[in-house]
Formats: sequence, C-alpha cells, structure tokens
Amino acid sequence: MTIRPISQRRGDNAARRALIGIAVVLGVLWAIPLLWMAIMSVTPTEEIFGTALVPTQLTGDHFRVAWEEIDMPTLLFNSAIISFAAVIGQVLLAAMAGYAFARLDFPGRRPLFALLVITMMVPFEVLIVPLFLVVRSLPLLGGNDLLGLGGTGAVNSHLGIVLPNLITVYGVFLFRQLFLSFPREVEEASIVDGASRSRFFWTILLPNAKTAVVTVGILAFLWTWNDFLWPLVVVRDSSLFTTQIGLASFNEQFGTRWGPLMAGSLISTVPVIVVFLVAQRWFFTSGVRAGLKG
Amino acid sequence: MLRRAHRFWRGEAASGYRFIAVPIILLGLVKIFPFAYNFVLSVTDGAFSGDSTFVGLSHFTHILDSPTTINALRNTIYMTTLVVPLGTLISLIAALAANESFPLRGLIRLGFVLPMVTSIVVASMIWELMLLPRGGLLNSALRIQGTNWLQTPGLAMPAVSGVVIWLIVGLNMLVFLAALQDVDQELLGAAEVDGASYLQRIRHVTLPSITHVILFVVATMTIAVFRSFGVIFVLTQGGPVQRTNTLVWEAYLSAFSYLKFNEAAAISVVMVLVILILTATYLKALRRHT
Repeated sequence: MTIRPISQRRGDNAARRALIGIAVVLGVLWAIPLLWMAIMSVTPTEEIFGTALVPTQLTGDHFRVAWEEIDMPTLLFNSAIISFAAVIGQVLLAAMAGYAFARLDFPGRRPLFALLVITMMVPFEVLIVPLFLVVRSLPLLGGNDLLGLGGTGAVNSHLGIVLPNLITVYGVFLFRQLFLSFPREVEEASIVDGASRSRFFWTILLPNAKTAVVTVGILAFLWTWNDFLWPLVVVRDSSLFTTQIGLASFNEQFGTRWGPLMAGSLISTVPVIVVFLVAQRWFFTSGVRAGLKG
Repeated sequence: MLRRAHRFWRGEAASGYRFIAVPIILLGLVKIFPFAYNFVLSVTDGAFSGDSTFVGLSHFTHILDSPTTINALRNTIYMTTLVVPLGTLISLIAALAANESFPLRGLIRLGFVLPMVTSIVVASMIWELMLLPRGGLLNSALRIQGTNWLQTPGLAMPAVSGVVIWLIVGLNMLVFLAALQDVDQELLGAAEVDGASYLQRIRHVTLPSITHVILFVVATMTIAVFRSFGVIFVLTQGGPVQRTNTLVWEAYLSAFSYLKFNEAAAISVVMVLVILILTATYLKALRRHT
C-alpha cells in the first residue's frame, strides 16, 4: 500500500471539481424556466419578446388580467377543495386498509392484496377509458337509473374529479409496511384493556404513523393539485375547471397572451412551492426512501 | 345465536372487514374493476350502450395494421431512447454533486428539484414560451433565428423530450441521493487509502453498490415516458405530421375525439403489456444483481 503522490491527488480533485462544475451549470439551466415564468409575469406585454433579459419596467397588469379573465379565484377554489378531499381521503383510507392488511387476519386478505399488487404496476393514464365509463355509469347520479344507464353519472362534477384521487394503492402499501413493524404487544395490551380496535387505530396507531401520514398527504396534494388528464376528461363546465384545466384552456384560446398566462401559472405554482419549502427536509430524507420502499 | 353474532362482530375478521370495506370498495371501483374492464372493452364493441358484443381480437388486428398506431409505438420508443439515458445520467450527476459539499449546494439542489413539483401544464407553457421561433429565450440565447422547435418534424420530439427530462430529473436525483447516502463509507475510505482516484471510486465502489437503484430509475423513467400526456397536449398535440403522436396520446384521441372507446382500450392493453414486460424485466435484472 502506497500513499498517493500529491500530483495524483490534484488530478483527483480536478475530477471532483469538474463533476460539481457540470452539475452547477446544469442546475442553473434547470432553474431558468421557473425564473423566466416569474420575470415574464411582471414584464409589460410589449417587452416580452424584447431582447432584454430583464424588463426595463415592471407591471402588475398580468396578475389583474389573470385574476379576472382566466378567473383564477374559481380555478383555485376548485383545485383547493379537490386537493383537500384527496389528502383527507388518501391518508385515512390508505391507513385503514394498511392496518387491515398488516394486522387483521380475515378470509380473502391474501387474494385481495395480490390484486392490489397487480393494479399498482399499471399507471392511471392507461385506465382512463374504463375509469371514465365507470364514473359515467355510477347509479342514481347525473340522471342515471339504478343500472347506471341513461344519464352522465358523476361526469362533470366535483365528485367525478375527486373519486379516483381518494385512494392510492401506493399509500396502502406504505401504511401496511409501517404498521407491520409496530409492536404487537401495544395492540394486544390496549385490546385487553377493553379498547376496541377502532379506538386503538384512531388514538394510538394513526398518531404514531406521522411519517406515512406526511408522505401520503404531501404526495396526494401534489398529485391532485397538478393533475391534468383526469379533470380534462371528466369536466365540461368552466365553473368546475381546476387551475391546470383553466390555464391550458386559456392557452388554447388566447395562446399569445403570455403575460397573463405566466401570471396565472405563477399563482397556481405558489401553493406547491410553499408545500415543498415547508417540507423540504422531508423530501431530502425520509420521503423518497419511504416512497422507494413502499 | 345473538351472542355468537356479537362475538363475531368483536372478532378480528370482522374488524378486518370493517376497516377494509370502504377502501376496498373504492379501490375496486377506480382501480381493480377498470383494470379488468379494460380487457373486456378491448375485445368487445358498444361501450356506450348497455349491451356489448364480443368481437374477439379484431380491435388488436385493426390497431396493429394501422400505420397510425405503429407510428405512435415507434414515437414512444424514440422518446424513451431520448429521455431515459440522458435523464438517468443527469439525475446521477446531480445526485453525485449534491452528495458533496460546495458553496451554494442548497440552491443548486433546489434548482433541480423545483421542476418536479411544478405542474406539467405550467411547465409545458413556460417551455412553449421559451421555444417560440421569434423572441423565444432559447433561440435568443443560441443566437439563432426563426427555428421553430415545435413545428419542425425532426425537432419536435427532441424538444418535447427535453421538457420531459427537465420535469423528471428532480425526483430521480432524490432517489439517487438517498441511495448514495447508503453507500458504505468505509469501503469508499478504504478505496481512497488504496489509491483509487475519485472517478475510480465512483466506477468501482459507488456505481456497483447502487446498481439496483439505477435499474429502478431506468424502469420508472421508462414508465414515466409512457405516461407523458400533458407535455404533448400543451406543446404539440401529436404534431407536426404525427411526429410526437405517442401511444397515450393516440389512446386519448381514439377515446375522446373519435369516441372509439373500445379501440382506445385495445391500445391501453398494449401499453399494459409493455409495462408488465418492463416490470418483469426490471425484477429479473434486480434479482440478478442482489
């Protein structure tokens, strides 16, 4: 074993520096589009296609136009209630199913779980047609009869948008994994003490599953807030548009009005960036790891 | 009798059913049933009415005979070859750098990760603006004039793929970063003492110990390409001359523009099969490496 000569160490450092240098250049390139959105949202229309990188004067006009003409308040309201329902639904339902699959032995548990494993592999985008037909034929909704025929079911309603977003198979896995490692003695002790399983679940198990609650909650929010294909398929009325649908449809109709579009985009991106910054530590540590293993 | 019923209600199986009932009904409705129903749709006709007729594999022979679908499959594969190698490489470089300490590391990391939480629609619109032939940032920065990235047949798919790479690097960088933090530090230290250079340590210690994660990233990124819808909707709508028409776009058009739900289901079944093959290949490769 030899100690490396100094020269070799210098080469060593050069390679490391070169790698960091490449990453820094890429990182700067990666940051440009979002910065560009922010800059363009305050750049006067006549300067948007100008040669200057930074506008000579700032304007708040685009935000006013976005607020009034793209109707951001309605879009934000729709996105907010759908995302809120999705977060609550995904956390609670995934936790309940995760508990049942991890701890409660009931006939049919294994085949049900195997079915879930298979469906987890198949992305949502691929099932869009059957899902649309299911939502369209929900009985007794939207003019449908008991057999789900005759009307439009939950198509074009808040319920229709939120329904597929109320539960994730991935969340069920995550909670099951966590609950499997929860000490059985605690459960048995509390059941012997006379507490029901529901009481144990709500007062002991769920409050002790913070990592999974945060993980499933954050991902539910990000996914539902940013979701595009499903609301596009299921919504007709502009009064039900989410921010993504509203912005895309404004883009299709008035594609050249970049200022208001960028202002609206910025407004709709603020909530996800806030969630990200608040939970940044989670993203860099437990989140991804939990997601990988879940 | 009553007592037995009571006992059953308090029992474990009963608790199990009570906990699983609502989640499983919902999962059945939005995941399990659609998954099965998709296969049924692909071999029948008449998705709209209450009654449907069995037509065998005719939808499949039809789509496999159709130049449009074959073109969509080819485009999807082309997009995969553009996105996956480059996306994996950039994610890995970003993660290797983020694992070192240098000034402004936090900001660089943020630059990579923020696109991941940005919506695909917003991201695509920003890129549409930046890619405009006249006055767009990219052409201005490259000092070229009038290149219409999204309307030139040969450039549209690379441009769309670039946007997809921009979107997915963040998540995969985080996945790599988590894996890098699990690499055996003693092994790295020993390699350094033995005189291995920085690049040799990466090549002979770091990369072999994260092979399973590289496989995971390649597999999930491929599936992410198959799912890319919003980028195409906003930027190209499948054009120009069908050059960015991918399978997911073709399925969407068949269903919701041409109202051929059964044919769309058949395209979806093809995608399910491709994804299952990919997943099986991934699991097999994973087993070989662990």
